[in-house]
Amino acid sequence: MRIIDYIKLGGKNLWRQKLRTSLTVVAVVIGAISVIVMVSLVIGAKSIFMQQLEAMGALTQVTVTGSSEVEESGGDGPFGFMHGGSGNSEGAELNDEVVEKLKGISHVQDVSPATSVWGFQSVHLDGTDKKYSAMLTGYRPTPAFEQSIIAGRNLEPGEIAKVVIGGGLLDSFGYEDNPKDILGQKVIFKTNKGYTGYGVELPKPPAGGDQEQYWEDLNDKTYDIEAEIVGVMSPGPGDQQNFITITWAKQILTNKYWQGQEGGSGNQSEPQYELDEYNQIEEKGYGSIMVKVDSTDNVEQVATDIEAMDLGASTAKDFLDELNKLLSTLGVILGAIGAVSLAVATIGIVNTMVMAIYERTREIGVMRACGASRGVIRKLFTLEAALLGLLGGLLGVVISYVLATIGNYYGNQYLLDQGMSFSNIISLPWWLLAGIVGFTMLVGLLAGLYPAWRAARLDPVEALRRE
Amino acid sequence: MIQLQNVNKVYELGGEKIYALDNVSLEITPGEFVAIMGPSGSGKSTLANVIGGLDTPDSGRVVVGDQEITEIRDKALSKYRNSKIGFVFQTFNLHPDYTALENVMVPLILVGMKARKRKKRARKCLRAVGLEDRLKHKPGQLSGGQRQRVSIARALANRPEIIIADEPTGNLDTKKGQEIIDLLKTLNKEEGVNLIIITHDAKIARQASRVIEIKDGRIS
Repeated sequence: MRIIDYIKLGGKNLWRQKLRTSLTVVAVVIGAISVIVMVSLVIGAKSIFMQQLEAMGALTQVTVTGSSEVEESGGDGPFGFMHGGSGNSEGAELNDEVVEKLKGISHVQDVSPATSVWGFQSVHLDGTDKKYSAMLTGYRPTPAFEQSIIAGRNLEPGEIAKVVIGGGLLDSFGYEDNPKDILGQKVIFKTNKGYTGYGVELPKPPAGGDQEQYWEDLNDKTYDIEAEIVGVMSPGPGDQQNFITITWAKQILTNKYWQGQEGGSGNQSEPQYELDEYNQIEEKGYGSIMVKVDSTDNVEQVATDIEAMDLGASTAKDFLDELNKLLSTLGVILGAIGAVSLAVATIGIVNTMVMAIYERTREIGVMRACGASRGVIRKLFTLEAALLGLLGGLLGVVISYVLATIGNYYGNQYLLDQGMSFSNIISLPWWLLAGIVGFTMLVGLLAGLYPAWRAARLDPVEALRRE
Repeated sequence: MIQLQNVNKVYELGGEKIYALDNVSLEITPGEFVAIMGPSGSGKSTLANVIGGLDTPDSGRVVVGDQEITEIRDKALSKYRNSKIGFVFQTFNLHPDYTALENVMVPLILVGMKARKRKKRARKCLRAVGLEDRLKHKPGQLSGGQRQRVSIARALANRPEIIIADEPTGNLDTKKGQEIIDLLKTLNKEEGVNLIIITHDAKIARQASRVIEIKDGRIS
């Protein structure tokens, strides 16, 4: 018997029992949609992460730390001001010499040192009372490290008292719907007590008198540091970050103090003081260095070259590898959950085929009398079951595609309203759709094996006697 | 030549052995019209089924032409039925959802014949039984006599050597029944096929060139 005749005959037999066939196929459709939706959400999530990383430039970036074993650690400055620095004496210090060496590595486009500046008590918008917490990151704003901006501009190298804020502060200040209106306004960072850095005119300790009072006042004093908002970053995973230039960060992290001098001229009972500085970055190094690579293909090689310099190098690939593992596991779990409904549909196919054999016993007897072997009967019924699976899979794919198109349309609208640049949360790659169709067909085929075996074992003489 | 040699077929029913065929030996020459006659339960249908390859004996030999069909496997036995045997049943056994043409094509589909060729062959068979104007009719749209003609056309589809008709007139009135017998006799004469009719009706049996009487599984 020809394969095309198996298919025609099988299709005709299914068509004869339209209601039963439809109900069985619906169960397969639901199973197929469940699996497609679960898996496509995981694929979509991965795609969104990739889009975000790409938008942030993270895919061509290597983050350098002190050594492969030393993570960015906080070091205490002498005046209680913290910054991210490689404070571990066992790791290499990230200084300007290292920055120059990194620039010399093949395929490196640009290098920017970076340091976190935190330890402000609070931040508020000038003219308002409500205070928030905020963290600043200082970096060198060259074209290679431009932030993705939705309002205003990126920082210029060397700018002082300018800040580009993230979505977190934008929302806190209440300008999420009109980010352009916040440009030009000032944010006020309130320092911790005892701050003696940028903008502080440190009074000289009194020659005589109450030294104790002098130090008490000094350690109790806080300062307000103003910065003009020149840009607002696009929403994304970096929402809590706010950027200033590394030049200004160095100034903020420079603590002044009066150093007492021995000896002096004239009256030896009066101590001599000289103003000195402690620059935390110069003493402890940068928190990290960002390296821009010319192509994603060269990122791994550059990272290897950096590690050869006894430095730590992390790339988005490390993050992506971990993410892939997590998402793959999630995909398997969700796919298995979706497959439960497919398993139920399989039982439906078995039931449908067993019922069909019972009703078509005499028909099987006639076919056997006309010369159909057991093998032909077995193939015919197995194929009918496979057709049920195939039909369910195809319909499931079509419906999933329609649902995904509608979902993405409304999803994209929502994301656009939120100011997000990425799109199409639900991702339906061709291999997923083809895989589902193949899988449901296979499931149908397997479900048909037992009923087909039963049909083939029927005694033709007994079958012909059946009413 | 159809040869049966010491053929036995035994059924067990409630611990009791029932000999459907008891040491049956017979020969049927090519082109012969034979009637197998006997009362109900005599084993006549079993004999027909054994000759037609629909049932296998428990012992003995069945040789049709130069092929022994007793020990062969299901695939070969199915091929034997498809190519050498044409069955006609009392209850017609037509597919209710197929047209007359589609019913006749069933044995041709099984042999792997292409669509155009089998349609042509099926039309010819229906023409031979006088139903060329009923090709697209389903069994529900045909009379009893017409349905049996379709059944005969189906039996002729693969140019069999043997037509086995089990009580072909059992569900027809006398007139229509005789028309069917006449048709079968014509096919026997013109096509040269062996015709074996199972019947309990002496009037029909008398029209055959030989009557084989069977009782309690034995040829008398």
